[in-house]
Amino acid sequence: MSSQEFEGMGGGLGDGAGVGGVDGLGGGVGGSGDEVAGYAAEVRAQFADLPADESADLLEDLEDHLREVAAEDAGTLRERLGAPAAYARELRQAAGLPEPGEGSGPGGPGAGSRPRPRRRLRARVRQAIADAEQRARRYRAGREVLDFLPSLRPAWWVLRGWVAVRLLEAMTTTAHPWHEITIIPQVGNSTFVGLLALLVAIPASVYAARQTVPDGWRRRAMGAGEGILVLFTVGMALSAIGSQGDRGDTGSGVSYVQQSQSGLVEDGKPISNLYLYDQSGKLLNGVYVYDQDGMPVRAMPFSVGSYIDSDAWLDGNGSPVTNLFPRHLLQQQWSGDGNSMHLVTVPPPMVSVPHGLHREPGSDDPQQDPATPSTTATSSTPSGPPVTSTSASPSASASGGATGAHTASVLPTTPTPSGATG
Amino acid sequence: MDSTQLLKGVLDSAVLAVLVDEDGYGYDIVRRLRVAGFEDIGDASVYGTLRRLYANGYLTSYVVPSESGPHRKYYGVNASGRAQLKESAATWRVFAGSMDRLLGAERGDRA
Repeated sequence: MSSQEFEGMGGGLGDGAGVGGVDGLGGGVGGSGDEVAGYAAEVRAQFADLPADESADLLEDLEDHLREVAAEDAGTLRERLGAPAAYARELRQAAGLPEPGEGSGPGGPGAGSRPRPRRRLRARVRQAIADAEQRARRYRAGREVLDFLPSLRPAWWVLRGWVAVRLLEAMTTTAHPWHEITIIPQVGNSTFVGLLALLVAIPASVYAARQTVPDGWRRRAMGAGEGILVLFTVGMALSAIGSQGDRGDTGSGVSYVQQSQSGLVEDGKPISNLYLYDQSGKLLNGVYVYDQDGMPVRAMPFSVGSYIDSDAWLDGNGSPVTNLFPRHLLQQQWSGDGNSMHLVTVPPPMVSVPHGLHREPGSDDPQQDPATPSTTATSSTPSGPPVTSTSASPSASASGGATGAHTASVLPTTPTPSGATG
Repeated sequence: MDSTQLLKGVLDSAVLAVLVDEDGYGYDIVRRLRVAGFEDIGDASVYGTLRRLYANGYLTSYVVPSESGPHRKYYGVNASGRAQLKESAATWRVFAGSMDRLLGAERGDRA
């Protein structure tokens, strides 16, 4: 009896298309051209428990025979011959071989060859895959998908060649294995070498796929290698899906922040409230704030450590008023003994309003527009030298504020055009 | 009684018999057997039997190219196969005669 084991039959000795790890599924499915090969591979899988020479003699012509059958009449092999497993069982009986489960009993044709547990497990896994396929084939969609899959094999042959070079890149360079993916990987920090590697690896991959590798360590090594490439491919695919979200604007975290958050932001820092002071340093309450486009300015909807109260303001139409500043923020305050908590209004921050406001005497001053008195004043004043002047009276300018933000002492009673109510 | 059980024992002889006058390829042999009355014969059984007979040296085989469709592997019975068929045919006749007599005798007893 030959010492050569009959392992890896599922890929098929005669099935030139299937080499390596993924053909367990691929070998089982059949398009019109591959139907015979797929069917034969599944029948062969049922003989995995037998010694190689025994089943090789028996199955040598299986494909040729099945091809004859397929050419005779219409209908798929499955329809005409039944499931591959059943076919294999009948073939076993006709050939006088023991049943898969009972092994080669003493006196049987395979006397002396004990089926090993691993082989039996493999046969069982193959059987499970065959059964699953059988179930899927009961449905039209399942049949069509399974018949379509084998046509994708060549794409995988090309892809795995590329993946192998990419793996080489990940090992020889500092490129991150899951990111920084380029069409032509670098090998040893050289794109040229990477290109050469691709030109070797992809044809080699396709060539290898079309060869029949005899059982043994070479076949096993190829299977292991392919397994690694499959895992690496899956890893890259998953990370590509994961990073799809921020691929649009790489390197601009600022724009990302601005896209994802609404409300006021200054240098990336969210602004939760605005406190407005007139030129005399008086805190203004109930001020409507609009931007350069006349759109209401909204502060950050959330504020760390405090609750927004003024969001409850509604205008006459019942729409929420969001640009009324300062917003009424509440924060928790614990009593001295730490047993009771109540909400208190967040006090306005301590600010130091510039004093001695004035304009430089020499500067031409076209901006007597009352709409922007306070901004002009505050931005120009601090840089100016302390020269006494009687020009712009701060309080006078402030009282002429444009957007109807008349100073009001209490927030709820602010007189507004839209008639905000609590 | 299930005829497929009976068939199993005589399939070798049946396949040799349909091939002894004219060579044939796999599916052709299946068809001949069905025409001969073994309607339930399975393709796998015939293929398995052909392979075993070939392995035992009873058959010759050759490939005939076909213009349309796949090449066909034809099987023919060689001298060893003819001897085997002759022997098994003799065995069968003795066996069948005994069986016939037995069944006939039973029928006679009953009648």
